[in-house]
Amino acid sequence: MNYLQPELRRALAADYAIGLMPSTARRRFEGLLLDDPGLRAEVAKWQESLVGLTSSLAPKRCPSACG
Amino acid sequence: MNGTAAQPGLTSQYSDEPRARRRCCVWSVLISSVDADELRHLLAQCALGDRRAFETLYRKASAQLFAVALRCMGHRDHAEDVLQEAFVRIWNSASQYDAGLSAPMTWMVSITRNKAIDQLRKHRDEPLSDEQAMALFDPTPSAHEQLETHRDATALQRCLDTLEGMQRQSIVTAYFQGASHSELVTQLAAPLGTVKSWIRRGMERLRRCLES
Repeated sequence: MNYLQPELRRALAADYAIGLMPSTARRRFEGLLLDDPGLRAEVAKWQESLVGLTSSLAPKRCPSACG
Repeated sequence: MNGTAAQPGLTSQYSDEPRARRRCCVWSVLISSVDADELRHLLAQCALGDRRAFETLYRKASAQLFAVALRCMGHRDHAEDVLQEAFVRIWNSASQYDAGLSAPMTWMVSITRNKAIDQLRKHRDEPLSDEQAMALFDPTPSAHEQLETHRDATALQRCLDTLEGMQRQSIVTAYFQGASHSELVTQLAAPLGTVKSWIRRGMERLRRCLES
């Protein structure tokens, strides 16, 4: 797979941010992220786009194991 | 089984919980009101090995992250495990946090979700009974319902509304359940190409909307 293609990079970053990747692919992708600032930025944008999905969740008191 | 089909309520009663737990976290603080600058500072201190900063970070962020873990896992016990693993990862990876790329809560939520997805997949890899399989693939539109109920006109919610129903559902389902493409195919009863297309188009539309 050619990881330099912009469209593929964008799509893979989106898949990673949503959580669609199978575990092995995710590990491989995380390996790529370490050496690829551009890809990290792409992922960060998607994550920032999606994090709003969690902002409507009411905070929950955490469990006894905490702290 | 792993309770992915469970739908933790948005409001929770704590009356049955031991008093000793109350010191855990500032659970009434909403994500948006947690000071991002302070979290950034705390993460920077964690990267230097400052345990006190880590404790403070935990107090500030754990309630929101626990809500994320609980939403993904559906079970308090599993969510507790995920939360603990997430904070270990946050502590160990604090030096990798790039304040120029993402907000601190976004980074921590992403770590928590990844840990949740690992757990969900691990449970899913175990053989399922038919009933469990049915429960697992039971559509859970609760995330969207939550958005409907708690509409506060954030940009994302506005933009989600611009998506077609299946685009929205496939993204939200994958996001909270850690469903892979093939699981979405089963759950949404649609061919792989269609599912991929919903996701791709939905995500691009979402991004364009958010950037406009």
